Amino acid sequence: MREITLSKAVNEALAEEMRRDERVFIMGEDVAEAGTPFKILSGLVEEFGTERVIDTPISEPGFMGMGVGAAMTGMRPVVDLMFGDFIFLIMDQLCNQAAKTHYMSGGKLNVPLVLRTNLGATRRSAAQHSQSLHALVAHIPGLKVALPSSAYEAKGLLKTAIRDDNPVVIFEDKLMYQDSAEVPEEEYTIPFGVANVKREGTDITLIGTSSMVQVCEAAAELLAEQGYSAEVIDPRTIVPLDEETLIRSAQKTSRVIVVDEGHQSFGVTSEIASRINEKAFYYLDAPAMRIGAMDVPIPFTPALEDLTVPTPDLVVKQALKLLRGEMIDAA
Amino acid sequence: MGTQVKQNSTADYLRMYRQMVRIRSFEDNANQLYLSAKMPGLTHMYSGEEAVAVGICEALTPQDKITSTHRGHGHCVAKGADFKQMFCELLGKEEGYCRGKGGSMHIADQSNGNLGANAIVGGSMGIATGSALSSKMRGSDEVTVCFFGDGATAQGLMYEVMNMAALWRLPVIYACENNGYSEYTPTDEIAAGSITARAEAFGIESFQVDGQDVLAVNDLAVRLVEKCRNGEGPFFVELMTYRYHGHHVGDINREYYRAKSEEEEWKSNKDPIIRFRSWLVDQGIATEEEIDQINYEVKQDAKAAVDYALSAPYPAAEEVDMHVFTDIKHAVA
Amino acid sequence: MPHEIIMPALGMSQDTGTLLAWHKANGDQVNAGDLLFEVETDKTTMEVEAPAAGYLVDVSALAGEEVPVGQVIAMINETNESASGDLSIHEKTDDASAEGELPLGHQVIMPTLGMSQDSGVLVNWCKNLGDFCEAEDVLFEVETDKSVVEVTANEAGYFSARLAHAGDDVPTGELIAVITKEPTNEHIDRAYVAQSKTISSTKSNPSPEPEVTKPPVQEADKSNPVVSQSKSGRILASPKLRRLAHQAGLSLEKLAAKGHPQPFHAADFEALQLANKQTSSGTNGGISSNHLVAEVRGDTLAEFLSWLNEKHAAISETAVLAALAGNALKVDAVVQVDSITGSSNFRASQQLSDVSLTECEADIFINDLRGSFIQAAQIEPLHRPVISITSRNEDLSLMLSYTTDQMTASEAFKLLNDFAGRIDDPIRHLF
Repeated sequence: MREITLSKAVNEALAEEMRRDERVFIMGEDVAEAGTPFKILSGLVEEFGTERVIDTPISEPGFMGMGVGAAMTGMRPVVDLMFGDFIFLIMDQLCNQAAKTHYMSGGKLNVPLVLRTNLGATRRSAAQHSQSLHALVAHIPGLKVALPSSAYEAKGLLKTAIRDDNPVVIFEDKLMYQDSAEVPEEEYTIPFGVANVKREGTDITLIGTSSMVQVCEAAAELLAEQGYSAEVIDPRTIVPLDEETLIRSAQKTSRVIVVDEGHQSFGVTSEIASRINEKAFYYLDAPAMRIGAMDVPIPFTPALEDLTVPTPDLVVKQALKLLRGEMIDAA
Repeated sequence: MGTQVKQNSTADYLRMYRQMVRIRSFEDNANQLYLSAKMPGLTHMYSGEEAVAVGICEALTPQDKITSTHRGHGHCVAKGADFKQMFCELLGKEEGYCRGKGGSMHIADQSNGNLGANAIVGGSMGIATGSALSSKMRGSDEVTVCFFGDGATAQGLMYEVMNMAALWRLPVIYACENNGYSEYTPTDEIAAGSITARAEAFGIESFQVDGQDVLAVNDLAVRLVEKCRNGEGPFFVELMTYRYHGHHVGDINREYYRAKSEEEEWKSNKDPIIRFRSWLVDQGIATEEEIDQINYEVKQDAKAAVDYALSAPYPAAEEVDMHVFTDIKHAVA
Repeated sequence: MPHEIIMPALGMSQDTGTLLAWHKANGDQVNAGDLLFEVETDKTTMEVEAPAAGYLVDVSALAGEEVPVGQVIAMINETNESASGDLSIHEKTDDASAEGELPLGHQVIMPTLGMSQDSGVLVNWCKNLGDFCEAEDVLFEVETDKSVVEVTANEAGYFSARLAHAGDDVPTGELIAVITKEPTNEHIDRAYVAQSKTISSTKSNPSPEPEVTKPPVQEADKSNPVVSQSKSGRILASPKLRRLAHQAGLSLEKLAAKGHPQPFHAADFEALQLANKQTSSGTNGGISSNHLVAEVRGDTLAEFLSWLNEKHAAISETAVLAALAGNALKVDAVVQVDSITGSSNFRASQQLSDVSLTECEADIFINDLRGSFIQAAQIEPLHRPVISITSRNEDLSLMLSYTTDQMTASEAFKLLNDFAGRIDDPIRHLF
């Protein structure tokens, strides 16, 4: 099978959906000629024109709100938010307007909108361009949240997002745009709410989101060298979340670590670990643990930035504690 | 639509009058429901501003879109909404326009192009501009009117969307209902400079009109809607008007920010309904008796709707987690 | 510690800079902040200052030269001698075995190609190893996301080391070739080797923690065991182990009593089974149960109890039995009394009025079978010693059953004798 980069996969998904449905259009900063600073959208304006690939001024609340209005009146916009960190600017339009319109109208108004943005640190872009803020939007009822972990997921999930009649926020890992994976040439989509068991194992379950899936896979390899068999699961979407697969795995292995690039506290890891504690409690031989990014604003200097993100070694260290039955924070 | 501006017929004038009376009547009843503790939550009265909503909405078709504000009953009625479903919504009943899930501040009437009232000041400006963008992209001649108050000119979003509307020549009319107060503060203490100049800075043609004169408002609206349909939008209109009640129904002791004499002045000498009634009679379009008849009918209508709504059922408990998503019936497992 | 002076990064779009002029010469003493050289960017001229004090040495770029961004062009050393002994080009090139092999000369790196790329595919070398190149000769071609870019040698000399092959994907900034002033006898030629132990993600893992070493292979290795019982008397065990124990009808207390390190996990299930087997069979590990019988008059107790019923009706018979037994055992003993009226746990006290109901686990069980038809009861003391009281006419028979791990023989004799003595003369032993 051919391999393409995540950037190319996103590009293909958008092009295919725009050909398939003339109501789909893109708006955001530098999306047309420039194809975004990450060069993902190159070629789209040439094919679809500036009426469907719209460059906006630097007005995030403005064009987000317009995306909501366009979605409410028959179009299917894909709004491009250049850096996930800018999500703070658009929270009212996304969380007060888009997320709630279907509910507040008693089901009569739909907002079939996709917000495409990114997450991920270690690019030396410092605190305001490196955040992974998906937990904020997952917390808001009415929004679906997708976290592709490779080029294959990126294309499949984005197509599903565009066809979904609800507002969907999809976060790509900005460090992964040049990473390749096997992506079929034929048409395919990936459904929301279906987790992917990437590696089967029996001793411990490692649940990772986005690029943390690769971190978990690397950790699994290291654990295998020491004789432990780790299961690695990629939930793919956190809203809706495929709880069943995660719980079944926890019941099988009786040990779980959740790895996510959002901050350690009050985030995705807490939510998933909590559900496992609730629903797999009697099968757990150790508490379900969280590994997130350090609870600090992300520093600029490489010497410090790399210390703040979860790494395979950190995962292995925690896993060994659980596997050996060491008490966590013995009193 | 042709290049000729629509001429109003007798029927049109009478409907305009009836619509204003309907709004006034709705608000009076809603106020009563609040004062007699039968309505949950708060609401915001439109009384006094009827000519603004009616003057503009009479220039629109059901396919044209509007976005509304927290003071949204007037726009809702003017755009063709039905009393029963509106009262049901205010009381949180299942037969409300939003199945009781939106309430006064989020009332929407999708079938008549009302994209919804908004509890966030200025919150619907993006939506209105996006609706206009959508209309243009779909090649339709639908126009969108964005209603907002003078207080909303303090929101950054307004400038962002006016900029884009102007850049892309979108068919949207920004209608600023300047009622002299932003909650409890006079407008001149919260808005520096000129309001219309703000839009003019973006190259948007702007107008100021007496919001208590329904014909003046309608005349201007008809012309601007036509221009928008021809791709000459956007436009900005500042309508000078006045709200008789406080900011919300609970704002009763308000002399500290507004003199009673001022309120009296507007109610007695500038009331839009009284003015239009006089004009109709003077022009021989209707007699006093006919107008009284209209008033009476509207009053009966409203009373029946209120009674209906008071005894209508609430939505079932199982509905609490429905309509979060289009494709997940019950969101909470 | 020598400082490297490099051609600075000039902007997103430039990967070389023209060194316009040196303001210090090789061997000059410099102070921190002194102007060292000037560089031409596409916008203006940039002045570069000395980062530290010392002597400027090992100057390897001349005025007028175009130098790749990041290349070392001089050193500042403590003395005015060459610092080339520890000339390390990039921190990343810690390929220890190769450092001594690489010839000294102009370093050629994979240039930075644009914001979206952090590596480039080397399409093609345009010179052969050993060839002489002019500065403006094309040395290699790199594929970017838009097209194929030709990269010049930038330095006249001999292509003496090739550290990447056509087709290699090389991260930007990495060393890929060396051009020497003189031809060398041996050429270095190898494919590009990634420096750090990264996996498919492009995140760098400097991994400040030491490598994890293989542990000795065993299941329940408790490297930080807790005392066998935590302060509150609770047993610490994982939910999984508790469920397994419950389903198998096994007692966690037995395992705890043996001092097995807590917390218990699923891996301790076998030990749990063993612990339970031992106490219930009564033959394994030398733990057996013993029985003692004492006989005592019953009338004094009966009189006392009936007087008590009149004067202090609140105090129950079972409470009295608990007090008598408990005080014979130890201070503040908890006694469970099972009678036809039910089962109650009491905390004993010398003061009868202080005897109280308690939720605590019993230290000893009393079976009150007075007035029943049962003549003798030998009860297996599974968890705690048991004393059964039966009546025979006016007298009472007390049978104590205990295991050797619950108490010694002499403790048992003392207990039963003491208890009997208190029953014989209750007034003297209470109040």
